[in-house]
Amino acid sequence: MYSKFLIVLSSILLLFSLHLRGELAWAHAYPAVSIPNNGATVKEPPREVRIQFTEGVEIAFSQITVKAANGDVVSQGKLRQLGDDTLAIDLQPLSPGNYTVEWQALSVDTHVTEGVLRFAIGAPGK
Amino acid sequence: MVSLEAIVSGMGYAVLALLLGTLVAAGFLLPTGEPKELRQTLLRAGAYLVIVFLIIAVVSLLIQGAKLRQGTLPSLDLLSRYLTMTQSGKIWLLREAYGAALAVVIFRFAKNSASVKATRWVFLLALPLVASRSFTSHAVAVKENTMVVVAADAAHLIATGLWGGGLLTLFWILYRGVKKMTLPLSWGAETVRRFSRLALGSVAVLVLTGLYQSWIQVGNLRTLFGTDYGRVLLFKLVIFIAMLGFGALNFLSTGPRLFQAAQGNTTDLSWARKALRRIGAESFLALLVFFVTGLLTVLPPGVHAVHQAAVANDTPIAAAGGQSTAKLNPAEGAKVEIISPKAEQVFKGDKVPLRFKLTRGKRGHHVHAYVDGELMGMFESRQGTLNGIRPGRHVLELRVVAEDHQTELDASDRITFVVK
Repeated sequence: MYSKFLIVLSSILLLFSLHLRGELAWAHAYPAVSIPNNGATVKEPPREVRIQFTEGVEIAFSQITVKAANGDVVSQGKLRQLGDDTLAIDLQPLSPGNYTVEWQALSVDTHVTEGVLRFAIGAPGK
Repeated sequence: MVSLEAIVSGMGYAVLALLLGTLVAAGFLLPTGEPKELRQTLLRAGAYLVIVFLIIAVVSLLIQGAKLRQGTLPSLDLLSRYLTMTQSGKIWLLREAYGAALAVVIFRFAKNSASVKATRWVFLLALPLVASRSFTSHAVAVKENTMVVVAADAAHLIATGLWGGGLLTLFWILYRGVKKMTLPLSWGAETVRRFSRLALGSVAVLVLTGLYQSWIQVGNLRTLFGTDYGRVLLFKLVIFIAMLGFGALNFLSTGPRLFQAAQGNTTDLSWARKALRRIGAESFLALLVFFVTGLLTVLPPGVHAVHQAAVANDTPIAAAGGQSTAKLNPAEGAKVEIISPKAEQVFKGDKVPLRFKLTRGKRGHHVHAYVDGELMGMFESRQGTLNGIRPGRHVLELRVVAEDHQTELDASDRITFVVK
């Protein structure tokens, strides 16, 4: 009786694992707030990009790189940690246009995440 | 990589649980009159399990390094920087050192025929090693009441180890006694009775800490059913309920019947064999729980589903103005009141401490802080710090926001302060 029960349970576990396989993602620090906000168009060129994550992050293995539309890196200096969960990087003087913020973070619970945020200066789409 | 990480994590849980199981059996479950070498065998097994755990931790470290190198083998320099410059790295170093010392202590006790009292001390010394996993788990990343969440996670791990690891050890002891006919039936029955009491206590702790952690890491029914984390947690719950079923069967039927058989001085071991099968089935489920827990450690907690989805979606650039001018939604009971700074309060430096009172209402989750109309941060707890504030007079506005960070509610408070 028990062996049949265990076979059925193991089969369910196997099917369950196969179902999850394609959906798994690494966890777990994600940007909760970014300045400039993701997708925003700002009037004044920001002096820095700041990201507040959902969890505490380790600055030693995290990075933020800001790039102009032509791919030039416009961030400068060292990454700064403003709080357990907040990182900031200084920017060169920026001209109107679209910018991407590439970020990678190691959270305090050992997981690595990465992604891209966007913002624009002046009218959107230019 | 994720699958490997989950498997290695599950192996770590299983080995630590077995460690607790062997030590609790050696110190608390074995009735008087056991064969002398049995306690020593359990202690030796405990020492070897600590060594296996330390080896698994080294494999985990290599996987961690590979994650930081986008899947390639990490260099010694990278590992060295990880171990010395990060919180989780420092905890890894401490844990390896503590584990090595613990293995030496257990080997010495096993060699010198440790007394029951000494064995119980060894059991207590093993608890910090098990609990240390909580300091690199999801629990440590929770922003509010972090130490309470870590303590609950540690208690959950220890209770899982006592129940699951104790079961596996009990199965081994009974197997030895029943199959090899080396132990009297009454002795086996007493061991099962003692384990049942331990299991009852462990289940109570598991239910309480499990509910608390689910509330923290999942948050609501939508994420419980709608995220990988929630679904795996549900699956763990199904196994847990099945284990409870077997536990109840063993508590109400197996144990008493074993006692009856033992009191009858019968040589018929059919009930002992039945007990062995039932405990074996429950032990198998315990092993499954360890590996499902390993999977949970590599999945993003359900509460992060919103943020995870935001990363996956490529946000288009919107019209000028940003969130500060976005249309506000009805407050639906949400309220916020700034307690600090006070009106016209003056600060030196670029940091401004913030305290506020938040009533979440129906949809509110946290607050967004705007300084002069520019979003400066979000706060989930009732206090925090505004960083990088330039000198001058500023208007601070706190606005209650829904969990998705986008839906701002018509619930705000505003104050003016000065930075010199």
